[in-house]
Amino acid sequence: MLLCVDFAGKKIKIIGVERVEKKFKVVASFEFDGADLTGALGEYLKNTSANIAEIRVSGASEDTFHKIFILPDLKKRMLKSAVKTEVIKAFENGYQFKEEDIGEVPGPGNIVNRKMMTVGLKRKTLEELSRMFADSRIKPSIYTTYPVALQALLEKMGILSEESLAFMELDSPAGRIVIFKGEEIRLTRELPLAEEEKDSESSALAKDIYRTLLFYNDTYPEERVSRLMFAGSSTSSEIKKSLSQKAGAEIIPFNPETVFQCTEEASNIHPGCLGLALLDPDRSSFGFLPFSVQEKKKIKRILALSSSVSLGVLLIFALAVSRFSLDLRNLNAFHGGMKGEIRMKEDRLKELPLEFVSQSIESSQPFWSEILLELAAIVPPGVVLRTFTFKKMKKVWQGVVTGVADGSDEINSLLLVEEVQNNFVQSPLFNSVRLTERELKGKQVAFKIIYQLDI
Amino acid sequence: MSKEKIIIIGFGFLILLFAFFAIKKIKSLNEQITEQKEQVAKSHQRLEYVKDLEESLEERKMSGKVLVEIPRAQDPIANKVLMRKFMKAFLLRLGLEAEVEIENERKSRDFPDMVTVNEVPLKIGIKNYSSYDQVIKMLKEFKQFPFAVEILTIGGTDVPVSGNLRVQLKYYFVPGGS
Repeated sequence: MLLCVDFAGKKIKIIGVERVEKKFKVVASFEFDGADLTGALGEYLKNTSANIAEIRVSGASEDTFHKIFILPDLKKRMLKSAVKTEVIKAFENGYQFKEEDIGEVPGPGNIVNRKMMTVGLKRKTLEELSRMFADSRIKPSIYTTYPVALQALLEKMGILSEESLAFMELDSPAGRIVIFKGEEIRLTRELPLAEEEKDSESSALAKDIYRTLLFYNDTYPEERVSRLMFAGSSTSSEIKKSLSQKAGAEIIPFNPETVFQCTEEASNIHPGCLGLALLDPDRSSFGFLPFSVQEKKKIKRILALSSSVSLGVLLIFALAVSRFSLDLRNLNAFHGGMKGEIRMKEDRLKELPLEFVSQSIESSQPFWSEILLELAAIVPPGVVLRTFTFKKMKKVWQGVVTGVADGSDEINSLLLVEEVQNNFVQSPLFNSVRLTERELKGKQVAFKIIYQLDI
Repeated sequence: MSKEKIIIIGFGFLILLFAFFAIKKIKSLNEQITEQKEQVAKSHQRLEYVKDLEESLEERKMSGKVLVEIPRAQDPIANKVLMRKFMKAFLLRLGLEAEVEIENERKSRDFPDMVTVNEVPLKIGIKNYSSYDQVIKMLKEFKQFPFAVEILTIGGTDVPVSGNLRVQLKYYFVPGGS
């Protein structure tokens, strides 16, 4: 159920609305009267909390303003700033207000001005209204003013046009008059209703309304109120007729039944509440939220956003960590499999030890016959090898030969040593050849050559 | 400071905390992955080596290229005697008179742990040999048996045994075999 609460008058008027297909159905309509309005409302909200889906509220009329400002055609931000300045100038700084650009107005010369409709509600009032719903499970989704709600109703009923319309709600103990022209809320005024008056000529209410219409004519000399609409039950048809004649305006019947279904006569239901039900909180230009509520919403939004971002970041990190963990696990599994295969192969190798030994000997032993023959071949005549040794040093075979070169003189002996060394170097079976010792012994030269076997 | 700023700073700090721990964890995982990859590469190399070795050994087994083993007894001293006698007879058959020194058998370190092979170090000192051919023939005969020459010297003193031609070698055998 959509609960519409209107604080515009002396009483709190409430209706409950449910949407039935395309029509709205008023399922409850009542008002709270008396001193403890807040307590009664609180009790009601507590009892019906389960049925309420949304709450909309309109504030007390004396704490609101509706004003049109004509301002130069500025950029949006500058225009907003200009409106703010004008509003503060006109109503001081205690209002929360909103503005809507409702079109161009020709200015002097070729200048085009902008017509800015502004609606404001006292900040203090908004906070007080908000406090009334502090204990309620559902908080109001929108706060607005009575004329704005009424405008929504009349717009839905298709009554608003470029011809000025004066809407009067006459309900004891107070009434209101609101004059509309198109989208503009041009004038709002409280009408005190003393008691039921039958005489149309001497009626204070009729006079009050008529004075208001005259004031409107003075304010907008080119325009006049051509249509009158009455709601409420506190005025006789004589007074209405008399007013219509005096103002030269047509009386339009108020039939909210075209929009609302209800058990009682819809025209007897408070029109401000009906209008609230028709407002679209997302699209309405003049929906307010108290700063404290905005602050709470902002904090909630920031909390939600921050926690979402944190959660997102956490999720990304968790994904990355799980991805890396999974990679590691896969790698471990793959490695495990490989190690298993190696173990299997090694077990098989254990069954072939003789073959292993045979292979190992074959691959590590030099071809002795080739090496010994090569050694014999590279020693030229005149050179005698005294010793030769082959020794396995870890995986390398090292050879050492010592010998004596005996040429006809020292020079020839030295040349013979050099020839031996060259023969070693040129042999494909030996490498890393080094002549480590060379000693003259008379005409002979003793030498020592170290080399490695190339196997 | 407004509530919004406190919330934003709080969550910012929380995100930084998440990031700190997550990056630390990712870094550690990354290091583990790199290390494991290296291990996998090593294992892969090892597997390839073992595969090739197995293939080659299987081939050797199929081809019947098996080394002749010297008969052995249970008693180590008897084994030493058997070995000395065998070596002397073996060399004598090649026309070489030699001094043979046999050391105690031990586990060979020349083979990987996957196979258990023992070794008996031998030192042979030959005083007289007629030609290179005789030496070459001896070395060729060695190849019929699981002998691995470690040092071969003619005229040198690297092997502490008397003789002109000195050989230090190892005899490999599989414990528990024939």
